[in-house]
Amino acid sequence: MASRLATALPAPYHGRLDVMSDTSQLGAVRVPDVRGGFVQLDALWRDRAVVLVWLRHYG
Amino acid sequence: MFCREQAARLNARLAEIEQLGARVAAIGNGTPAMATDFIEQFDIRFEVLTDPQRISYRAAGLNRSLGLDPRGLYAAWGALRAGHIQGRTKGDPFQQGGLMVIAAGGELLWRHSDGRPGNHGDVDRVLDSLRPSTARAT
Repeated sequence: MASRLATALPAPYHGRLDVMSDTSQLGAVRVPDVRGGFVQLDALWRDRAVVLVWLRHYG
Repeated sequence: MFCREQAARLNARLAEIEQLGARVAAIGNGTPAMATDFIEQFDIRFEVLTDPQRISYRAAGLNRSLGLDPRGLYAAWGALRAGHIQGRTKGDPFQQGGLMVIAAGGELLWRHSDGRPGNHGDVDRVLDSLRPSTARAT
């Protein structure tokens, strides 16, 4: 019961963003676009700065 | 409602961000169809990617929490007063958002991890991080 509850609840805050010092790991992530393709995130900052925003959800 | 509020704030300041040489991109966590609806419904003028598996959220170290916090209720009231109503949740309801400003080449200039719903990164801080360091110091 306890283990099922633990997996149902979201993970607690972990704050890794506060200690992230480089973007290389993030840059390797490929994310779907809305046209059926993918964007590797480091392409967003290859030639110009980017303000990259993560939304909660679309509601 | 908070994602709508955040998108509206970025849309309103998009020209200022672009004048400083940066682009804006957003990542949501619903399906591509949900992202397309979001773009069309709210006239989003920057690129939107969508990450239903939330791999990039984990890579960025963003919070996932219930988000129960009195300050979240206060922020909700502010968002409602600004006309950003709550729609049907389209994505992970526990996932919190965040923001990074990354220079060309990959240097991390500024980051913000939303600790609770409505705790967005401040756009003025975004603009400040994009200005040359000499301008920031004055």
